[in-house]
Amino acid sequence: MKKNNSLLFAILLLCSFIPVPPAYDTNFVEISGYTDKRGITYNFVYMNRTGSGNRIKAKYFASRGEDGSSVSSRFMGWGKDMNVIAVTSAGYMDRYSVPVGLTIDNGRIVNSNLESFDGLIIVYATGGVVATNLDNADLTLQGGGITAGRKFDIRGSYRDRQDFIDWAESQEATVFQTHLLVYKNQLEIASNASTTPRERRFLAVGKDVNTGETCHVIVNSPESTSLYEGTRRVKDFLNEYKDMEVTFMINLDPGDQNVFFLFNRDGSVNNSIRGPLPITSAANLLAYYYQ
Amino acid sequence: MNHRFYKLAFIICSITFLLLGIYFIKVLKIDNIDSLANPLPKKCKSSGDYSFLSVVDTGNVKKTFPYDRFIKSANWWCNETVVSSLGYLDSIVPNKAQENEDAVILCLTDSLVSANWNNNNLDSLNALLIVAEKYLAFAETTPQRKFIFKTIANVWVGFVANRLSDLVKHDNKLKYTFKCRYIRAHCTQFGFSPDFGNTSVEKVIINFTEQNWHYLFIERYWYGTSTFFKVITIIPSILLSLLFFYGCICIFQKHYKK
Repeated sequence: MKKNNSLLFAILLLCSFIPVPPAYDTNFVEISGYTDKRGITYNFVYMNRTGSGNRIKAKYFASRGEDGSSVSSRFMGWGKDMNVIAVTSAGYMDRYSVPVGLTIDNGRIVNSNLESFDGLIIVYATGGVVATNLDNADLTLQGGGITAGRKFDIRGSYRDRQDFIDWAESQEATVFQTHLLVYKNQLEIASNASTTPRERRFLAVGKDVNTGETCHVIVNSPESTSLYEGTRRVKDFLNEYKDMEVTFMINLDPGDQNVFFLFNRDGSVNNSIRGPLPITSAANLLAYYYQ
Repeated sequence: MNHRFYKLAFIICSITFLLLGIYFIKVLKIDNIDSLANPLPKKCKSSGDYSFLSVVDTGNVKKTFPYDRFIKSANWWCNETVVSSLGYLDSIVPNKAQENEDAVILCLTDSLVSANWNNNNLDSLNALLIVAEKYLAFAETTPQRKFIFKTIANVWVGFVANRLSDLVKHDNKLKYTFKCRYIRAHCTQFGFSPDFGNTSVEKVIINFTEQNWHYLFIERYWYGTSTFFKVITIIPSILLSLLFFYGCICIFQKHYKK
């Protein structure tokens, strides 16, 4: 009996020396802050997706579960086995907590209503995120019997719109619509957009100009600014201080569902960027995780 | 002097309460007993004569399609007549099925909805939803015409949802009416959710009832408002609180202190 206890103790002691693998690799996920020469502070999460071998992935949640569970419950059920880096509300929501604009979650239509927002974000099953400007009518798709090179004008052609929705359903695609603040490193936002001064938070996806690697950056600007001013400052910050050419940038601070949680690599909550509302307030969630 | 003062105070209070009463009745009036009328006839009376479509030029279907004539004479709310019209069109413009479908889609969406339909009337919007429902059911049972009926129905429901959002933006009270809530629910059933926002007062009430105190008082009030706004709201609040406590002390002293 005593011998068995000693053996058990030895095994436990041995286990305590086995290093636990970190939730994510900090070589590719940087949580930091920066104050520029004008005294403006930015808190950011810089995720080098290419550098990580595409192990940094995004997943979007907008539909209820098949058992009727809420979006936040679906996320929490999924996230308990994942190395979540950050989770944030992504698109806008209406007074009934339904995402605004065309929203399809893994092939399930949440909202077919095409809004006037110019940005259509596609989240791939591989974890990549791309955006298209609907005003340019140049979206191309692959798979599902779509002719190679066909350009979709979702706003202007009813046939293209219906074909796109049918494609998204058949391919179990995930898409949502939002304002495109920056596209191809150019400001797309009007200077008179949402002039209410408040803290701003954005998601920018782009390329490191030195290495050409794809990076996803969540930037929080705690100083109260208008949406235009906040966008311009953050774009300048990414261009000048992070050497990043911004492919697209979207708003992550849609007011009524201001939800954001950031996690350290040991899984504890990092409070350097945090949304004031509980996760249950979100009608849709965009999660970044390491796999 | 004293008597005159009390009389004046009584008149002012009466008028204030009367106005407040009228205001609350106006605000709380919810149109719950309303009903919806369908302006479209229930029966299809098609002549079966689609010869007016013979003006279509095989070289350019979309440009030469008689849009107005089709809307007026083809009983478009009956799926059978739309199918017959398309069949006739396919016979006079052969091998261009997709172009023919696109012309009918354009006719029953842009031409019908933006030019020939009452967009401000909730009954008219609901009528489109009724026909859309028929079209969607027909699409499921008619694979060869599925695309056209599904597309037209989805465009209509999207149109109704967006139009409803616009109407609510112009008149916020509309969203509390029976008709509006019914049409919204109907659109949502089809997977199209109209974008009804909340006014600032509604947002405050929602966050208050959900007890989001940190968001309400720290994020939105303390960080989200100007210094001037804080000054003009905090000073009266302090004065009102002092007045309340002073009143409590006076009541206590008058009635309970021996």
